[in-house]
Amino acid sequence: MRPSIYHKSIIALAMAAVSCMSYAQDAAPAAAAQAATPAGSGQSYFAYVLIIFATLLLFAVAALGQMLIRLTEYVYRNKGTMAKSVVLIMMMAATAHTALAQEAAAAAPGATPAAAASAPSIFGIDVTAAIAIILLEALVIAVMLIRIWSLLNTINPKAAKPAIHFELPKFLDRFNASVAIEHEQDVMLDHDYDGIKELDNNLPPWWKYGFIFTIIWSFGYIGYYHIAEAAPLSAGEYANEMEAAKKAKDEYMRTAKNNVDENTIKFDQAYVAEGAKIFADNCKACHGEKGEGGVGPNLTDQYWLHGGKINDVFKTVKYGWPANGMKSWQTDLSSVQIAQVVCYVKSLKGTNPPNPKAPQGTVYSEGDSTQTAAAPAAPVDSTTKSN
Amino acid sequence: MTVETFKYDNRWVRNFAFASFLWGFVGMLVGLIVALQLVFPQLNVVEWTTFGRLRPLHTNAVIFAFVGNGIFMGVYYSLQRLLKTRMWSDVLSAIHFWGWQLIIVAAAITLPLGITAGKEYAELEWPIDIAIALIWVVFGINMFATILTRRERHLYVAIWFYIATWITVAMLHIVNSFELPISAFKSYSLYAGVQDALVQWWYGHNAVAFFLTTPYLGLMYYFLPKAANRPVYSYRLSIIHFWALIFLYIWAGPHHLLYTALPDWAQSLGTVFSVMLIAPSWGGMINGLLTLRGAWDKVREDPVLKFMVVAVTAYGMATFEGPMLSIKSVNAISHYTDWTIAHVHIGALGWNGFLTFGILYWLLPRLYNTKLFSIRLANVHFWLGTLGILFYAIPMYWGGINQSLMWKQFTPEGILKYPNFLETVNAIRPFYVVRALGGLLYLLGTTVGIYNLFKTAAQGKFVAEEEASAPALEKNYTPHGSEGWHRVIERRPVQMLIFSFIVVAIGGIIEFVPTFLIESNVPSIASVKPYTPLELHGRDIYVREGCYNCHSQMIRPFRSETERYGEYSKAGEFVYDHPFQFGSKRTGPDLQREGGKYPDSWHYNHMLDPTIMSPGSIMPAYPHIIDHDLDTTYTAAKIKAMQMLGVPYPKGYETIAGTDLVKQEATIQASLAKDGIKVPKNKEIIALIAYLQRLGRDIKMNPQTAAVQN
Repeated sequence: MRPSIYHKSIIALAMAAVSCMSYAQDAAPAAAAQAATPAGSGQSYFAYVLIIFATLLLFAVAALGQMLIRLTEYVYRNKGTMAKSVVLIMMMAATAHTALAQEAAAAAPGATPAAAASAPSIFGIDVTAAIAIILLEALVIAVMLIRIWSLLNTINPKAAKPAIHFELPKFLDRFNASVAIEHEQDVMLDHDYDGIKELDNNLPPWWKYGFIFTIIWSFGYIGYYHIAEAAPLSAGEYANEMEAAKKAKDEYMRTAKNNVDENTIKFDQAYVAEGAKIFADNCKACHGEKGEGGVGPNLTDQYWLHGGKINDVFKTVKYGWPANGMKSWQTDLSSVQIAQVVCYVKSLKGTNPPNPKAPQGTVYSEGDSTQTAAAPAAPVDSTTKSN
Repeated sequence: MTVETFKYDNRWVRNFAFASFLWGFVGMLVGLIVALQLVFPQLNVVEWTTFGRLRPLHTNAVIFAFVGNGIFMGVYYSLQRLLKTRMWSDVLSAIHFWGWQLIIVAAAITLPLGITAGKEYAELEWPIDIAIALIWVVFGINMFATILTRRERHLYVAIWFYIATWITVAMLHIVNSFELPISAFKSYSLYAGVQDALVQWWYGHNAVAFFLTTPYLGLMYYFLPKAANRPVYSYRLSIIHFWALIFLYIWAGPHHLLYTALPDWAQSLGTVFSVMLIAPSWGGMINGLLTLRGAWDKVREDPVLKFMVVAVTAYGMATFEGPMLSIKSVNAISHYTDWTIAHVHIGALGWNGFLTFGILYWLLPRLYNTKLFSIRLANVHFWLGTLGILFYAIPMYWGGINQSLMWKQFTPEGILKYPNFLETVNAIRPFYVVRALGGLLYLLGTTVGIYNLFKTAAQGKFVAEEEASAPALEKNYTPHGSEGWHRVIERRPVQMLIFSFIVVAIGGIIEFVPTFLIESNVPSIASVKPYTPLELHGRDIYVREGCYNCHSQMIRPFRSETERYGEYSKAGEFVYDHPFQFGSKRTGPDLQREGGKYPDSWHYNHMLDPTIMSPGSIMPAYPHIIDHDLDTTYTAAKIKAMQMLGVPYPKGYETIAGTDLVKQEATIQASLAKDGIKVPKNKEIIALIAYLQRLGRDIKMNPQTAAVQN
């Protein structure tokens, strides 16, 4: 006796409900984790990882659900009572629910320490929590698999696998212009290679026309770019991109506040704190944690290689002295950021940190307007921008 | 008509099978190690196990050892049965088997030692290249002689694929491996720069096509209908997709070089031929999947078919994705990122890995005249493998796309939002963790599989010689009724071979000849000068350490790249680069304009321990470069070799090269000493610094030249 459509749909609905529940549970820790990420620390990649695995889990649950439908069908057919299959669904739902509840419970503490920001965190992603969630999800799948397995065994420990007929839907034959499987003898060729026979089915029309379409498209592509030259190639694209960017930047700078350059820079105590952060991120590798010098010169003494006037220091940071190993920072830092870090550097004078590097360059004393850098560094590195 | 009896030789089939899964295990294990090295750089313990040396070992082991032995296993089994004859020569079979294993062992020794030609998937040095060519010829002779002494009139589609594979791989390997030896372990590619890149990716792409794809399609055409016991869906489709596939595939190589200094016309050819490849590739998938019509019941129960279905599906996904990645606007995002890594692993883990194991589960019980030891374990393997693929690929897709978007983001002020490359690396490290987990799952599955296969072998009795009988072919053949044109070629293997060769040679010739002969394709730049002897040594160290595995030297013409790295790369800059070092993945930043960016002492400290200069860096430390003496034995030989390759050193320069080397060394020693670093002379680090400081300076210092020339 085959189960009716009606029975099938009840089972399917029940399964869908179970799946939905699990998905909702899954999404909850993800949301919690996202909320736990401190605001303003960039995108939460953690959430992406979770979404990936939530999706994976959904697939797993769907597969398990599929299995359950088959199982139920099997029980129903062999034992003949609807009651049994209902019981089975209830059991299954309970199993799933318990497992998921466990997961949710365990996930919550996993997310809480993340909020405390004590766990190793890279760019707003809490690695430990991510791994914990992943492991938990794997665990849930494992638990469900084991439950199903034991269920299978309790139903009929020694029975062979249920033989359920399964075939691809018929519309695929129409779609592929295949000869129906019942008539395949009509297109059977007389080939026989070690028992392998060959049919002479049509090329699937969608395949054939798709192929022809890509060929036409290809001629069109070559014609468009290389014969009609209707659109720019890589160098032209680049020129357009740079032009658009320059326009956008000019537009922005025209309206932007706090704009500053090497001519307008003034020491501003309010910039020092922000400048210290920029220094720690970008400069300390060469100039030392406290500006005492290392690969690069000491910034705390009164000696300067390229001028100690604030305008000159700004220039040095902005355009760099590539020949001496100081790179240009104008593509890395905004003009305000350069101003901030320059103010910080100017604030370092006389701080006398430990292990200072020996003085390099000439003495510069504040207010000495005659001492400016010999030549502006600007033209040297601007070359990288020209084309 | 006399019926002859004969014996199939299963010995070498069995040997190749064991070699395949045992090397497969090694290759995957190395893969797991390199995946973990990206998360825990401390795992780069000694110089021989740094990422740059192990990653080529991983790729070579998986491609040539795991899949290579898998191909031979399948060919040796199916060929005999499809032709109703024994392999032509047992001796050649033995030479083929042992020769191939020796090559693998040689690779496993030389690659960690840093003996490398520095071209991806063609890293092995010239003596091994020659050995590969010879063994490949042995395989070819054995296969062709078997075909010529067959008892089956027509060749089945699987054999068409074997023939095309053989001739094309021979052509690819030989053309790409032309190199000039300077010692037993070192050679320089005959080609330079953009031309070398074009040849290399013609090879690299078609290694995928004709080593990982066409032979496996041949195996699919034999083992899938056998396992499903169903007729092949469409003979017509086989013919069309076979010829279309081998003709179109060969052209698509330049899609690995989109937006590089390769001439635009060649890039466009790469794009359109990749797009045209969708249908021929899918022809194979359709023919595989639709062969299973009427056998889906079995698919649900038989692990062999399960593996095969996932394999063929993965093949379909990868061959759809490939053309999409060849569209320039998509490639602008995907290139240099982990997206590509995800893409190839769908192919390697899904298509090659699963098809190999599907075949093994079918084949081994037959070789041992027994049943599979455990269907349940095979299913466990299947699920571990499938989950492994998902856990591998999905995070890599996410990570790759995320990182690429971070590279490209600008602030409204027009500066890069993430100017520090390291920030974008650290952002995707969690994805690397999950990827390693995926790899681990897959490896666990493989381990379960190997156990299962060993147990199967143990419980059965090996049938080395399998009796068979078939009527001999009659000398005179008159086809009954009219024969299609293709049916005629199917009984003429030599014509099949020649046609295949013509079809696969066309694409390469049309792309190579103009790039090599027409000067406008690689415009020369007057300011680009040959490397000094010290820089040349430094470059060889760069190649030896496999820096190209993580660092590109090819800045694409995008604002996000020129702002980050400097002026975009010009074809004329690479004319003295034997071999080219464009790279294909940016785990670290591009280095083409590294020269002059940092002081010498920065590089010294960075090589000693990258985290000194770049806290949080995942690059391995290279203290051994600081310790090792520079081997200057071959300085003169290197200069002479370069001269032979057309690099314009003055006549007789090799005699004074050593003096120049010492002079340049002294300037770098002095600059290091200024920052308090004392380096004795003749150390490798000085040569490497010299090379890194030279990178990209020829036109950086002289922008007008570049502007005029382009």
